[in-house]
Amino acid sequence: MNKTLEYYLEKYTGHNEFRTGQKEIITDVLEGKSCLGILPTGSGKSLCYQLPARVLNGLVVVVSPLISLMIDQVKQLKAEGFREAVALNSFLDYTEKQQVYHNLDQYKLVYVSPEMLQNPYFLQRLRKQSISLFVVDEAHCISQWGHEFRPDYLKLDTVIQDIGNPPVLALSATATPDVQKDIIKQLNCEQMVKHIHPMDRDNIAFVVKTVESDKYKLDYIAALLHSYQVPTMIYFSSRKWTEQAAEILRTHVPNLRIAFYHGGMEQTDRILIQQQFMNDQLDVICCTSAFGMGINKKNVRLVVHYHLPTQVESFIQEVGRAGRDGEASVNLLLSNENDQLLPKQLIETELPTHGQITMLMDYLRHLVESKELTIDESLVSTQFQFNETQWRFLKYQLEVHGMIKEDRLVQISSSDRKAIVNDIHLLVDKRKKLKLAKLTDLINWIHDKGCRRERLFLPFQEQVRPAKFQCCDHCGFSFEEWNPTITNKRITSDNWEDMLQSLFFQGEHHEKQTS
Amino acid sequence: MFSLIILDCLMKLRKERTISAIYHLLTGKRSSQTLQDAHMYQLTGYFGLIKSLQRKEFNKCMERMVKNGLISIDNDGVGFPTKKGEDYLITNNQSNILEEFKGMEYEKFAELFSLRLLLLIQTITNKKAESTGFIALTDDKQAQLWVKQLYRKYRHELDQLVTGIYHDLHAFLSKLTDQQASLFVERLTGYEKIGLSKLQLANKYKMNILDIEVWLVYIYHKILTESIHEKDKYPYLTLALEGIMDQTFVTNSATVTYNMLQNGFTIDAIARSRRLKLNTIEDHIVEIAYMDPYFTIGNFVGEAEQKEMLKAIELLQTNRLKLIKTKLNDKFSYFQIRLVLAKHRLEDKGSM
Ligand SMILES: Nc1ncnc2c1ncn2[C@@H]1O[C@H](COP(=O)(O)OP(=O)(O)OP(=O)(O)O)[C@@H](O)[C@H]1O
Ligand SMILES: [Mg+2]
Ligand SMILES: [Zn+2]
Repeated sequence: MNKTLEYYLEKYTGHNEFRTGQKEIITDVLEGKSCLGILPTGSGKSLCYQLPARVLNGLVVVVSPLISLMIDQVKQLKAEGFREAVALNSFLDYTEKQQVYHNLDQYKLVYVSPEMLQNPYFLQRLRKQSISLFVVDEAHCISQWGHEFRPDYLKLDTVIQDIGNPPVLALSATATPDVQKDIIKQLNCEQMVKHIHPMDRDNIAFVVKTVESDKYKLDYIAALLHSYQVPTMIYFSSRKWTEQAAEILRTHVPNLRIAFYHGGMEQTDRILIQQQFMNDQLDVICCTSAFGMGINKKNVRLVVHYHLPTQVESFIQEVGRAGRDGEASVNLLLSNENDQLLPKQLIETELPTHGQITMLMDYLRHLVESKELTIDESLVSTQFQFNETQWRFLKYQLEVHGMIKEDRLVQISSSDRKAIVNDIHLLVDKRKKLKLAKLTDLINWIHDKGCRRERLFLPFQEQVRPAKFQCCDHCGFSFEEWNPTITNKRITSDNWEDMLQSLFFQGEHHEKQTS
Repeated sequence: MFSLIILDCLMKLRKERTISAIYHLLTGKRSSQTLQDAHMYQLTGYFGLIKSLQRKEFNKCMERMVKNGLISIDNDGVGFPTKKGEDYLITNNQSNILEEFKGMEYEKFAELFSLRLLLLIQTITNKKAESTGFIALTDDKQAQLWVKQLYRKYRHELDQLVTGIYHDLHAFLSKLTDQQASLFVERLTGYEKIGLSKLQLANKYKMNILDIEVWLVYIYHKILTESIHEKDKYPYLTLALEGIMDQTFVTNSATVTYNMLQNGFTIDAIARSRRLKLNTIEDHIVEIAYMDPYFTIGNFVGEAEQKEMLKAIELLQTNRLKLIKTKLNDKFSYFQIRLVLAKHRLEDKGSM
């Protein structure tokens, strides 16, 4: 390569300099080295593989945990003129998938879910390509101790071997040193070059406000929004709540444009709402964590947590939507003594109960005895009321214990079965305990008397930088001293003829613009 | 608006069908029963109006109408308008707005037409503002391809295209009420203006989301009607019609059957070679008889027999298959009766 990296940066993205960490990672990657990149939220991790994808010959494969995140990124890339990118996921229908499979050589960047990488047909296609880089975005998902349990993340090392051991790039904004080690171990990539940067966000102030009960939370938010009409995201833990809160806030602060967003909405509506927010046509979004990872609006000034997530990592991810342009931004967490109730419920529903497990094992024994060796997964799920995460967890355990091989049941002795049931019970208990401990970490952070940024980020790095603006409520934060730039609302008419004219650059509006 | 449609359906169904039939009609269920109902009771206009309508939502709406005293539903699930409902329908449908719905007629292309138009507007207004980084509002490949080709053709006359679409739209929207026109324009996406979602429209205009849904369909059907019949008046809107009005039949499978019939295959031969049930092929033929005015059913029912059946139907004043069949002493199969009904409807329409 005879052109400089800066040349390609400018050519493909229009940016004129690299941000901290990017150039080093990209240089290593282009030399075929495997890397672990830990960089703060919003720092530009995507560029670390998107630029190589354009420069390198061959295909870059990116494993990404959230379908909406993949779709957004591909849309964004296409909008920027990078057409050889595609997202492969369960939303595509059969023919669409086939189309991508058969034309894999025409792409330079393909986003996949970890589950997709277990599809033998897709793997066979991948083997025929030359893979120049294998990326694991949001790599903390790999770790047993990380976000949520996704068994297929644990199989990535086999996939990497299977497709010819390409260089690996693992990226995350929320990985403690333990998790970092775990990522390297799980990917079976001991020779990884580490690019570890501090991941604290020095332009975000942390504020915890304790209110007597939930019903005061919206009052508090409404009052705040009265004084600060800035782009705002409010996190809730249920879809229903986002809808209700949006409606209530709309009556409290009628001059603000408020909408909700969650994973249960129609695809087109989701795109519209997201785009309106990006385009400053909306001021406030009441959302679930589905509106999180990867959302990249530069001027979000305020992120509110109405409900708590289940762990510090998710909290940092969600907070990370704020102030991506570097300006002074605030995270507000609303707390009361019932904080842990909803997250606890969530944790409970993520894992199967002992009773469910025992009944399933009995049922499987029945199947094997009657020489029925295939499992109807949807039948099992409805019969024993497993949700998706629970079933995924159990299926993986059955595979690990050799009760399922290549999707078929295997006959085992009854003493083995007893031992396995016992094992899985123990594992469930252990994971629950672990998750609850992680929740407790977050709760403890809320009640800690020390500096919030220090307490939040110290587990992840050795030193926490001083805040660029205000620090936190324990270091004397006050809203009065926060002076965010208020985004100017464009005045728009409600008259359809005016709207139509300005949309099509006609009439007076247009003359003013061009003269 | 949604309740008007329900009331009109109930009136026309004359207590001969349950409210489920309306649900299937509105969601455009491709069963021969639903297709036949649509034709028999002159409800083709509402066929497939809200494909995404959930049963739960539909039921809620029915309950609300019962509570408001507009309709009654008996224990068998058969619904009918109350006196209040009838009056409501008459006062609110004075300008025959309900006639504008052309669900079955436009079913193949209304959606594609609207996607083309929306994407075209998004594309050309962004191009005019020299903005390249916009996210397409639809993933529909057909619509994207068409817009790409059209844009390529007009890229040097972009101003003309933008102004042309504007004038056509303005002329068309001026024929609507202000509120209808606003709904349409608010929904458009362009340069630095993202359209409102249906829920946002419902909030802003204080309407039920189902009403928003059917108003939008109403407007699109009206654009289609206008641009099909007055091509010269809307030269730019008409562009979006290009090549999408060729298919006639509701199911593609029926098209295959149609071609085979034209090539002299018998029903049995078609069923055998396509490995389909005889019933299915018969359904196709009934569908074809509804759709194609030139299709002759002489091969399946003789002239004299047709007359006999028509007489019975007139005598009975009903379209109920079972009654007709019994009246004629089971001389004819259901298939033959359905076929005659299908054909009869068209002859009737033709002689007006
Ligand atoms: N060198 C650069 N110069 C200017 N802007 C940049 C540069 N690199 C990336 N950006 C911009 O930074 C923004 C954030 O990038 P990106 O989404 O990749 O962050 P991230 O690190 O993946 O964050 P998260 O952890 O939240 O996913 C994007 O808008 C991107 O265009
Ligand atoms: Mg990212
Ligand atoms: Zn502090």
